[in-house]
Amino acid sequence: MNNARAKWITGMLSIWLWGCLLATGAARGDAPVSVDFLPQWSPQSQFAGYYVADAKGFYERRGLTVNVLRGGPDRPAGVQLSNRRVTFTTLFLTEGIALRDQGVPLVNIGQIVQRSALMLVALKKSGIRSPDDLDGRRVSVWDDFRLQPLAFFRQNHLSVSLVPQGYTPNLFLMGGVDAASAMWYNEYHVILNSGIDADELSTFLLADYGFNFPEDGIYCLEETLHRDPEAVRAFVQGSIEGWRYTFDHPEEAMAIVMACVDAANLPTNRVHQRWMLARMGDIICPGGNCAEMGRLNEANYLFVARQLRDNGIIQAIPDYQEFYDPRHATP
Amino acid sequence: MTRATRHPKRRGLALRLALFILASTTLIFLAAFGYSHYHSRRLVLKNVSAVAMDRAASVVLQIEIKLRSVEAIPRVVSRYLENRTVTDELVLPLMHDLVAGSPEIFGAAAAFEPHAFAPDQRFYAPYFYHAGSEEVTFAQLGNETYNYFLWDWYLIPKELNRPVWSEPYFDEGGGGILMTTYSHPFYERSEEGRLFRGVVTADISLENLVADIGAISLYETGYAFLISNRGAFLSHPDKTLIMRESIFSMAEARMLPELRIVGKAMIQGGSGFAAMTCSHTRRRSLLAYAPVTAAGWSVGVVIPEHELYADIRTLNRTVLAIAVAGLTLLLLVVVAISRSITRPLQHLVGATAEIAKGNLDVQLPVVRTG
Repeated sequence: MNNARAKWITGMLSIWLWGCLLATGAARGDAPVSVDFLPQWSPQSQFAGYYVADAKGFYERRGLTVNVLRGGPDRPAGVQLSNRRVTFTTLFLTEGIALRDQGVPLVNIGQIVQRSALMLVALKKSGIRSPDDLDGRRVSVWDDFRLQPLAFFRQNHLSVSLVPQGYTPNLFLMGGVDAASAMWYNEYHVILNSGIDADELSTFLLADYGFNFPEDGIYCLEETLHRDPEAVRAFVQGSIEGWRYTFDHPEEAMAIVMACVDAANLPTNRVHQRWMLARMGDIICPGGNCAEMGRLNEANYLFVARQLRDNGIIQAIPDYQEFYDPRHATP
Repeated sequence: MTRATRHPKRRGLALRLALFILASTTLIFLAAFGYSHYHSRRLVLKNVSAVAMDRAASVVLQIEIKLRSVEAIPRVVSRYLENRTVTDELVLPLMHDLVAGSPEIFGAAAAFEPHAFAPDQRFYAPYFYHAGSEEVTFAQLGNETYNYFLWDWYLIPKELNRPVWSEPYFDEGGGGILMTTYSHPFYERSEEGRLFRGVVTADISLENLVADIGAISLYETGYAFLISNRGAFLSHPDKTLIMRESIFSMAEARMLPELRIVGKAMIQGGSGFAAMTCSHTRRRSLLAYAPVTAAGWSVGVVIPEHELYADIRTLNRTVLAIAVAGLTLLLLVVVAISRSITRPLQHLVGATAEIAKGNLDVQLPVVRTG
């Protein structure tokens, strides 16, 4: 009797356990995993691929619910990722390497932007037409992106007077500096849309002078990679699909980006966002070739890392294999 | 057969005479009409230019007066802070009372260079502002995520070494109102020269400033707008353009290169008058513009051409109707007169032909003289 009862209890227990296991399994299989994604700047076409992936359900289809957060200067993506406040961020390659060197266990899981958009801009009427003309001039540089211009000045043996650059090109527009830093997809067009014609400007795209630092890449922490590699792959694959869809359907992508921009009440416009989207195409798929999207070329990585080390920004070059995980971007 | 050829010839003579007189009269009329039309358009344009420029100038004046009155506060405070040992006791009550006593400003700050206030303090920027009703709220600006040294209101006057009105911006803390900040740099002066120590600022809401512009209307759909020194719309009847679009982005979006040229003249501080296609109404319009010197902005007044010339068009229609009636009457009169001249001649020609055939009984027309 006792034995039979024990058997019955054991049987019921095992059924209940089975049920629980099945339920957990179902939960893992059906209910989407929810993650936070923080782009490294305010909503704009620079992140079109992610907004499009979210709007078109490319993440959802891979079992991932992505909460796309609003980025901006008051929410530095690197800090938010380090503090585990978000799961995924985009970062410039230089920032990713620097954080890794500082001990943040982050991993590049997809290098989206292959070509640097950083440039220096000057007015031709100030007499600046070639790099040599920058000698002795006042040039504003962003603290976070000073490495490329500094290397460019050294290469050309220029002694320039550095001025910190803020969040707008207004100091340049008001004549406060002879040359300013600009992103080809952003500030350069802001300058054009402030009434300065393209033929009135001298431009120095730093990638053209041998300083091609790949820019936006997707990052997460090592622990995320170990805990949930499926989610990581889903996010990277969804994002790549988002970018491909964006370049194939630019008008639809523009509508999605403008909805994000309007929701954030940002002082920008469609003409500017359209320009930015076209330039993102140029730097993500240089020469119209999108095959490299998501891949971090080792030679490019080592070049950037050496520049960072030689300028004292990092102590040692993080191991390429540890820094970059190529599994998630490959189809 | 012969009669058939003779008949149109007879008609032709009268008609040709009538047409000749009519054509000459019409030409003379058209010349006079054309001149009068051209001249009256010029007169209207001249008068409207004056009206539009007056409107632009009065708006500019109103804005300038408000801006200049706000400029006084940072100017005086920055002068006061120079070469003084600044302490909390000195600066806090001063800033508080200035804001409390100046309802026209939204807030004011005294922002110092790194470690300029105290050696161990990187940021020191007490900020007082009107939060809602009468009360004045205090905030200490500057922290890890708000590094004010890099913001335009601090950086630009520092680098330009002169007071500056900032490019307007939406203040997120203040409920998304459009604001602009006047920043006056202050220095530590010594015999070797001067050393930059910080800026004193005053923020104002643009809402009151631009309300006067929004109220302007000329003719049916004429309006006024205000752009910043980068061409961004600060005031426009289409509110969705404000701060989002600039005169240059509109020129690019609507493919209006002439608008870009006007925009450049405007932000370079010019004043004048231009004819262009309005990006807002898509109609040919006249634009009068004048600079707001204090802040480097520009006011534009737009009047659609078709409204401007509406009176002239009505007048033209009346004149043309009179002309058509007059010319028709003239045609009838000329035809009647020429018929009365040519009819006896035709009879004579007929009689002569009969005589030539040998019919001498034919009756000749009666000759009337004098």
